[in-house]
Amino acid sequence: MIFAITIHGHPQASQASHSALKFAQATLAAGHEIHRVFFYHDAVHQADEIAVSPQDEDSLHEQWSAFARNSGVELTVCIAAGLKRGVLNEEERRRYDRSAANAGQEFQIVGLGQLIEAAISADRLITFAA
Amino acid sequence: MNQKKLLFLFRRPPYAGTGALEAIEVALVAGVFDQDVAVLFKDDGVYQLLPQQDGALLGGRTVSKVLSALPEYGIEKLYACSQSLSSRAIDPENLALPVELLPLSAQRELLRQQEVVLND
Repeated sequence: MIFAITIHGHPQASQASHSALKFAQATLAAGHEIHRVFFYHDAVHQADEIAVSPQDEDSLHEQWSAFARNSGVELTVCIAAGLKRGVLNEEERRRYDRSAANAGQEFQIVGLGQLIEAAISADRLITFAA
Repeated sequence: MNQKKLLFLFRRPPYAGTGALEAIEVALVAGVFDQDVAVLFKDDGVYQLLPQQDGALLGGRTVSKVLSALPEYGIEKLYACSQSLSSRAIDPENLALPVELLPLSAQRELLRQQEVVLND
């Protein structure tokens, strides 16, 4: 079966992103496919590579990045939700003349159309709300 | 792109952060993509339907005004949970949008008909 995953919860304030990562790993392990992961609402903060995790805690950002590298699954972040929360890639940093870009390279900054496309293309869309 | 039956479940109150507006944006984009879209307002999401909102007082957009764009995007299947309205003492005759009121049993049927349900 082909799954699409969307995540809404803030990586620190909610369990959503962690649960979604575990679900994504289990989905692939069970032989299914993941069409795309889409970070929306406060979940866009997951793309922020500047955030520093305490030494005795796992970095969810690192884990998602490794998941994308190892699996080839597309991680996408809503551009509008990211901009207003200060999650920018180099292209947006230049466009809005900001001092830093912080989106990790495994996270693609995309439009909302990618969420709709994923909802239509996949057999199941799973939402991890806040 | 093929067409699917998508239901948007709006349960967030209109002015508790940007969540409600961001959820509406997704529905509008689904309309642009020519999908078969329905919207169900439920729980605190029915507060989005209150008339005479003014988001400018909170320094932002007016949620009911953004919602009024839904029909322009081809989204005309608008429903509200009758129980959520009555338990909040909201007058169903005086709402910002023309919605069809659904009791719980009809909502179950509506959900069953969908191919995709998008939570907010």
